[in-house]
Amino acid sequence: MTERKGNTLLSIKNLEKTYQGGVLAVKDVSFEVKEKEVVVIIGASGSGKSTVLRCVNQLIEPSNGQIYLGERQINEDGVDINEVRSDIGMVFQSFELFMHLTVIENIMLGLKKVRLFSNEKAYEIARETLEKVDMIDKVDVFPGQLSGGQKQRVAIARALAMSPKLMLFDEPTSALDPELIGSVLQSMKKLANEGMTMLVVTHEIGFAKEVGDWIIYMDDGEIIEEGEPDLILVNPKTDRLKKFLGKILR
Amino acid sequence: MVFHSKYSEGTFDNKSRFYGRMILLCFVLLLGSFSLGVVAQTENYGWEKRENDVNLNLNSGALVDNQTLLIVGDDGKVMFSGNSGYNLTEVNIGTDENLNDVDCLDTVCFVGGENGVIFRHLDSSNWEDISPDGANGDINSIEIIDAINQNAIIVVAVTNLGEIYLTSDSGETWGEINSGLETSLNDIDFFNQTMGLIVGDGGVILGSLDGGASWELRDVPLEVEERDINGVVFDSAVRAYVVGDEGLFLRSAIGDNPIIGFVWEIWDTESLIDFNSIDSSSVNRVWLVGGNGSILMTKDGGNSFTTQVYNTSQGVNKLNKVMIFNTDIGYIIGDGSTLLYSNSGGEGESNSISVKNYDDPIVYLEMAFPILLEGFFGMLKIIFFSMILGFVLGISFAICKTSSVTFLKIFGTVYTDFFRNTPLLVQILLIHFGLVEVGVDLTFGGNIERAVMSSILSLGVNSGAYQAEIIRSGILAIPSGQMEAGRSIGLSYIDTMRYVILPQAIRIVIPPLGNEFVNLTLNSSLASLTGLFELVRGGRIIVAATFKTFQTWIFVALFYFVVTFSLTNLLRYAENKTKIPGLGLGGE
Repeated sequence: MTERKGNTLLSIKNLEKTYQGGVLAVKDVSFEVKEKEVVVIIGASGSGKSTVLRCVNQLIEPSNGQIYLGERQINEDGVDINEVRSDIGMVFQSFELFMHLTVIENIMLGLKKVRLFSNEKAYEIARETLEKVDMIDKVDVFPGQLSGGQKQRVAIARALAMSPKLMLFDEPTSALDPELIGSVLQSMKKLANEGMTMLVVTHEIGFAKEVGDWIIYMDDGEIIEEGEPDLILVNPKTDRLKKFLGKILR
Repeated sequence: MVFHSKYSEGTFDNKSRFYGRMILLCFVLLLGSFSLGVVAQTENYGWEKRENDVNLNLNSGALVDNQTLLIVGDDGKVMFSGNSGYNLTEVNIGTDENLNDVDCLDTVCFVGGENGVIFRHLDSSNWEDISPDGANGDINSIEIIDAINQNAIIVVAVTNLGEIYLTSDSGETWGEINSGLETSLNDIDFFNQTMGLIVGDGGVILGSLDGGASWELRDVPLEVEERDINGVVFDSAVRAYVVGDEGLFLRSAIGDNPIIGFVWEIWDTESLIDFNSIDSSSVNRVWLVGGNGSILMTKDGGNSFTTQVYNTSQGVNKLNKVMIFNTDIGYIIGDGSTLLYSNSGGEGESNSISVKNYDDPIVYLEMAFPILLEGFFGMLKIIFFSMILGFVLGISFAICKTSSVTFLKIFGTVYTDFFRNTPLLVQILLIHFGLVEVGVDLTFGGNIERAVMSSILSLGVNSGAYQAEIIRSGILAIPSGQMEAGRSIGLSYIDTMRYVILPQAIRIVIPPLGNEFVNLTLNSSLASLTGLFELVRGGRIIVAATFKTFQTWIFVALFYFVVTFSLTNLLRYAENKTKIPGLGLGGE
């Protein structure tokens, strides 16, 4: 396996998640995300990749294993999980914008209530962030009036505005019409180029190949194969990944 | 770059304008409620105030020639009043002493005051000073016993030093009768030319059977011996009454002696008022007046009293003298130039015998409308506060029921299940009558009427249970991803509820909440059970007085309709104003 450079930002060790009813969704998963790296998790539906992602900011509580952000273990007692979460941005498959707030208010909410910024400062940061995702002309529009792609870019801006150390993307393009996917991927590429550390769950193999620094293939709750995109996506070692890629790239 | 787009101004402006209006409305409702929120103490049963600009304490009065009222007061003030207490004309009788009492027979009057001054006014003559030689005490009471002719009027006067003065030559010469007492004697009343009573401090009751020539101490109940007696009325051969400090009220009883005034019994007035004066119009109809502007009346010789408190704008005044003439003409005189008049025997219009023709819609409305209006405001107050209480409880318990903490879930379920599965009527009875028994004070130390408080409480907790279910359904209608999104940016559970979930959930449930508010309004009619003055109670009072059942209840129904109809429209307006594109059941 190739050596990766840089400091480790996120480190997951022996992660396990058993859902109520005994369904084992994630089995003994360990991997690392280096600073400024884009790590992409691919895999079929139900392979546990979203569960891994949600365990990172503990929207799902892991059953076993340790999660470190930098040097600090963030899944033990006594950790202020709200503070940890404010350092980890998350973008959801179904956007989850706050429907009752305008675009700018969506972004300002966290800045005001979590970061405790003044109204003016929050407004300024929110506008800067919206500019980054090309949504500055929709500042006072309600999410219900936006297209899916626009919503997702606002959702990225909402996570980004908090200046997170790490951003999680949970299938950010899966709910979009094909013609809208491009703009979202564009924003994500821009982010990656700016050096944002990202952990992405996606079906966009093209994006993984182009932007990803490290690819993890999961199946049935386990990591089957991981490596640099050029190696793993071009010459998969395992049959399972071969089969998966075959299906997806058809 | 557009700093303020047109769209922005639109939404922010409309929003703040809407909130402003809602807050204003709440404020107006609140003001309306508070004006009625205090225990109502002033209820006028038929005494009317006669305004004057005297600004002195008035102490006593008497009728001259059976028609003109003569009033005496502090600083030597003597006034004649014209028709029924109006048009006071002042007379200078030549003294600055405080005058305490006056008695008149036809046109002859005697006035007594401090430092032993006594003045008289005989036919067509001027006022003359006829003070007894060596009298030091303040004349507290003076009484004309008999008049053989102008020059042979028999008068008795008593002082605060226990002195009794008697004259039988219209005041030319006075003789002092040794009572053997040094306590203050306060009032005199004679039943006829021979039988009279004097009362004083320390439980003193003196009786005379010889026209005031000799007096003897009468027995009083042991517990009265230290108490001060201020007034006596002896208008009937079968009954005399005396009153005193701290609610003291004694009634003569029949003993071994057929003449009354020898045996006295205490009768409970359920009052701690210092009574200053008493008068009667028949054996059983008696009026008592005293401190704190209190007027008590009994029609059954003291078995039961109706209380009226007379408030002036300057505060509550001490009432010093009550006089009843010819069954139903009454005067009450008191501190702060108080002069009250009644031509209905001190009873309110509704108790009087005059028959009104309620078939005449104007007569009916004159009677009914103020009552309906008062009931209407009574109801508004109740529903306003119960809505707020219900909403606060509703949100709290909805959060409890949707939380993942088992204890809170159970707590919320028990609350909603209890109040939704028992009749509201039972809840009202439980809270209004039950809580008192177990020692819960709903009046906050007497500051709030208990009926008001228990009505608000019972309607509020009942509505709270229903609102909790409604709001819970709203919370559950918000996708779970919203909670995740809120948590993912670092908001706590409560903050996410507050800033993300509830604002959306409440918008969704405005229509069912509106239904619940309408229900609450209609349910408030049950609060009449607590004795609360609201529309239904008002309606019953009107029906009882007018016997116009059908039209009264139609009017009551109309008032309810006005409230619920406005409420429905208000909530529709709120729903439109808070509508957000893409949110809720309305769609985009």
